[in-house]
Amino acid sequence: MFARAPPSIYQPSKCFVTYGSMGHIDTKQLPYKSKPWSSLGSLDFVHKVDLLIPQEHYERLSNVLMLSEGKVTIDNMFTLINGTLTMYLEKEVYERAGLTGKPYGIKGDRGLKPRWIVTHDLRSPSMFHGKKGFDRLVYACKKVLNQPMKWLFSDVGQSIDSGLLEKLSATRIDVKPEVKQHIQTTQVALNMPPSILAEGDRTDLELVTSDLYEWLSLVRLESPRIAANDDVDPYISRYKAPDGTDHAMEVCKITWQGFMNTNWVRQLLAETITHHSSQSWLSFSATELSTNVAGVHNELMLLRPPKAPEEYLMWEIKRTK
Amino acid sequence: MTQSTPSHSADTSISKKPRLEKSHDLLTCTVKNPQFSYALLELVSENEDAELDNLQIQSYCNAALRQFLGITGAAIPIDVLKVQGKECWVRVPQPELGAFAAGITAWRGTTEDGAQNVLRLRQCSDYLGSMVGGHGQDTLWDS
Repeated sequence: MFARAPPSIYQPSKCFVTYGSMGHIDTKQLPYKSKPWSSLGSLDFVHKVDLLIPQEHYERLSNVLMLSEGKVTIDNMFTLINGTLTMYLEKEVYERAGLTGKPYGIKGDRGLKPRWIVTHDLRSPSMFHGKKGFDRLVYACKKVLNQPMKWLFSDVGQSIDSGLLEKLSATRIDVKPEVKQHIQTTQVALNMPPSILAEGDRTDLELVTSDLYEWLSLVRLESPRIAANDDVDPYISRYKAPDGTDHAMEVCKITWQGFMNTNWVRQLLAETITHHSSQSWLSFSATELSTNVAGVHNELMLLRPPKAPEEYLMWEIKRTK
Repeated sequence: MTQSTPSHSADTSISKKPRLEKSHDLLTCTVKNPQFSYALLELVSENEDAELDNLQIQSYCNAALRQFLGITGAAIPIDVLKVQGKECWVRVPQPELGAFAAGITAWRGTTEDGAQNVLRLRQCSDYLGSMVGGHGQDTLWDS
């Protein structure tokens, strides 16, 4: 009686699933009218973007450009270009940080307060936990360079979107990527079974894609249920990951949270897809800022399967009116 | 995985056939009957340091549903997906969501060490991803 009543406690949403081909992408001239770009463009303000990629591909993708607030010659300033972290430091901070660097500026014009420049290639093989140089950098970041900073960032090859920045400074909200590495999970089959496509089987497509959507959502949630070694009692949870192998896999999640416009998000997706290895999978999602009372978020989630660089599986979650 | 030779060749033959440079849809569908719904619960307690754990969630939900619907309520399967501090993400079968939400809301809570504990239903949806994506929007306005 009660149990079968339709849910009245939330505004229901619908999920539209598309499996398609996006063709060749030219990042200079992005298509606007075709899927998935048109779907992305139909979103309002974007609140959060989650990018999931296999851990082993993370270091190669980190071509992200970051710029902290500040001036090269006055404050402590940081830039990150193609994985190279450059820090412009005041003398006092440089001495406390205990890092190796070079004096900055023209000889003879350094005055009484010389400034220092420290460079680290974060993608070099020595940049791992346990290595001396890296640990020292981590120590310096924790103990000395620990003031909150404002960051600007952009993907490689892109000039920073001035419209976006205007909005950011006006509202004083900073969008910076947050990286969560080594999310433990199992290898799930991410390719669409060819039989579904060959037969155009919509019922099976709904089943398979619902399970995949749930799994990707759990990865984004960083749920312990997807880990290969999760041996939680069935009394707590009976969740089963979609078919695949039991082999462990590590996923890296990069999250941008704040207030973004869809043009910027579209460019980010295009850059990510073109720079990411075509052999590997990636998942990209963009969630709208909810402005309605029920707190329902429209969302778009995209999966590019491994070894099929031009194909995509897309879920569009839309509030029903 | 569909990496074996026959399935792989079928895969490429489908994707190669009509495709040139243009993008197009190969197959679409609308999810009509989602199997599960998801809910974000929050512990509201007089004891400020109180945190949730897997077992506690199950026993609280069980108590709430038993009080509301008796044996029928206790039989609603609840899967705990993640517990973090006072917050907890759970999964319930989609048709039972109405009963689950009503049960949690109507629950009087328990008293432990003199402190009252109740669960608050923060959000629920048929699609977990959009909840995860929307989580933390409050902090945007508070920052």
